[in-house]
Amino acid sequence: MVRIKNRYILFELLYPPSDCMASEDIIFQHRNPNKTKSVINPKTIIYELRKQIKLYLGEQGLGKANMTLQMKYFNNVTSVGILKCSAEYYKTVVLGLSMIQNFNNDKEKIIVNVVKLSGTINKLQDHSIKRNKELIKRIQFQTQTNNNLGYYLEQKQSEQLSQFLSEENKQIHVADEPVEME
Amino acid sequence: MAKSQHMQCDLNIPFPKIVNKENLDKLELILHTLIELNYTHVAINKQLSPKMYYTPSKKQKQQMTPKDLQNLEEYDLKADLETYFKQFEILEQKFKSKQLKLFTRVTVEIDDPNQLGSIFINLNSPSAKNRFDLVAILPLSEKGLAFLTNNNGSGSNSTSIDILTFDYANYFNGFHLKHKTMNGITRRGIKVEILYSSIFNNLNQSNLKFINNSKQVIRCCRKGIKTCIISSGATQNIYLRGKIAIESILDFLGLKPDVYSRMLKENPISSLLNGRLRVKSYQQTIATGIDVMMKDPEIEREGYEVVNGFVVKSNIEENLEDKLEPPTKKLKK
Repeated sequence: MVRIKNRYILFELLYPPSDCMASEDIIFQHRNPNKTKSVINPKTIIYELRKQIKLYLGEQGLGKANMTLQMKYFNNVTSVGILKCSAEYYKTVVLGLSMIQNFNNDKEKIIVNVVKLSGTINKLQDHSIKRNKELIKRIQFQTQTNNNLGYYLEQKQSEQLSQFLSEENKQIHVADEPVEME
Repeated sequence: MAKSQHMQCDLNIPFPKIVNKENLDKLELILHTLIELNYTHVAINKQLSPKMYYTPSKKQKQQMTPKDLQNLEEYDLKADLETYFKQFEILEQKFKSKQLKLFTRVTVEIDDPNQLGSIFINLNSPSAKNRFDLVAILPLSEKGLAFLTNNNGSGSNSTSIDILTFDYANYFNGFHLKHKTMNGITRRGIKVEILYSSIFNNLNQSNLKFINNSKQVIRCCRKGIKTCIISSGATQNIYLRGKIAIESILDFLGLKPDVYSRMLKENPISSLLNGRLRVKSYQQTIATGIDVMMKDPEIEREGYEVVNGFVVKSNIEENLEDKLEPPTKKLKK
C-alpha cells in the first residue's frame, strides 16, 4: 500500500485598516495583537473555507478537498496558522483560502495571505520562525529615533512587541482531533 | 544559476478621481497593505475619460446643454495632471525608505478615435514637463480597438503604447475579440492586462463577468504566454491578494503553471522596461541607473553590472588588458 501524501499550508490573517490612522504603527494594525477576536478560531476558519470551496467548485470540489483537511496550528495573537490537506487537491484549498473575505458575515473584512506550501510541517515551522524574526527587525527599525522615516514610537508599542516575542518562544501545539463541520 | 532577487509587480493602482484627503488616505493604505504582501514595483494609474480631453467643435457646442458646457469650461486637463504629479511626488518621498518603488501610468479611454486629437502627443512628447512611465489604452467600443490595429491611424505608430486593458466588471458592449486583431496588437509588443480585483465583488454579478471576460481575452491571446500581465486594479485594500493566491485564481481559470508564472513576473517587467526606457534613454539604447532590475551580487562579482535590465561590463580597464594580449593562433592566408 502506498502511503497518503500530504501538503501543509502556512497562512496568516491580515486585518487591513479601513480608517486612516498614523502610518507609524502600520505593521501592528495589520496584525492587531491586542484586539479581542472571539469570532476567529480554527473551527470558524475551516467552516468558512468549506463554504467558499462549495461556492466556487461545487460539491465535487468540496468532497475532494475534504479528504484530509485539518487545522494543525493556529495562534490568534500572531494570526499565523498551518493547514494540512491532501497533496493532489491542495490547489482547491488554496483557492478557498484566498476567496475568504470575512467570518460569519462580519462587517470587518480580512485577507488570508498564503505564505508557503510544503510537504513537511518542520520546514514550515522553520520558515515561520525566520519570517517572524524579520518582522521583529522591521518593528525595531521603526522604533529607532534616527531612522529614515523621521518619527518616534511611544512606549505602548514595546508592550505589543514583547507579546509578539513571548508568543514566538512557545512550542507548536498540535491538535490531535480533526475539526468537524457543524 | 544566479539567484535573482524577489520581484513582484502590480501595475494598476487607480488614482482617485476626486482629489481630497479621504481618497488620498485610502490610496496610502492600499500601498501599505501592498508592502505587507511583499510587493516591490507598483504603478499608480491616472484614468482619462473622453470627456476630459475632448474639445468639441462650434457646431457640436451649439447642440450641447448648458450644464455640459459649464462642465467643459470648468475642467482643466493641465491642472488636473499637475495635481497628479504633485501628489505622486509626495507619495514617492513617503515610501522612499521602504522596499516599494512607485511609477506613473496613464490610461486613455477611447470611444471614437476622431475625438483623440493631440492627446498622445501632449502626454508623450520629450518636450513635455512631466512624462508618464507607462501609457495604456482602454477601448470602450470596437472603433476604439481598431485604433490600435489601424496602421494609418494618427496615433498608432508615432506614439508608443505599452498596455491594453479592458473593463472586466462589465460585459464588453458591442464588440467581440478576434485572433487576428489581437495578434496584430501583441506582435508590436503591447501587453494585454487582466484585472483580478472584480472577482471579490459580488455586486451586479461582477465576479461572473470577470470569469467570462478574462476567459475571452486569454483565448484570443493564444493562452497569453508572452502577452498577458496580471494586476489588481483595486479601489480598496481588501481586494488585494498575495502571489500564491493570484496563482490559484489563474489556475481556477484553467491556465498552466508555466503560463501564469510568466504572467506574474516576466511580462510586467518587460513592459515596465519598455516604458521606462522611453522616458529615460536616448532612442532606447543608452541609459543609466538601476530603476527596473534589481542588483545581482553574483553577476557583479564577475565584473559585470545590471543596468536597466541589461548586463554591462563594469570594469573596462581590466578587460582592456585581456584584449591587448597577442592572439596565439595564426591566421591562415
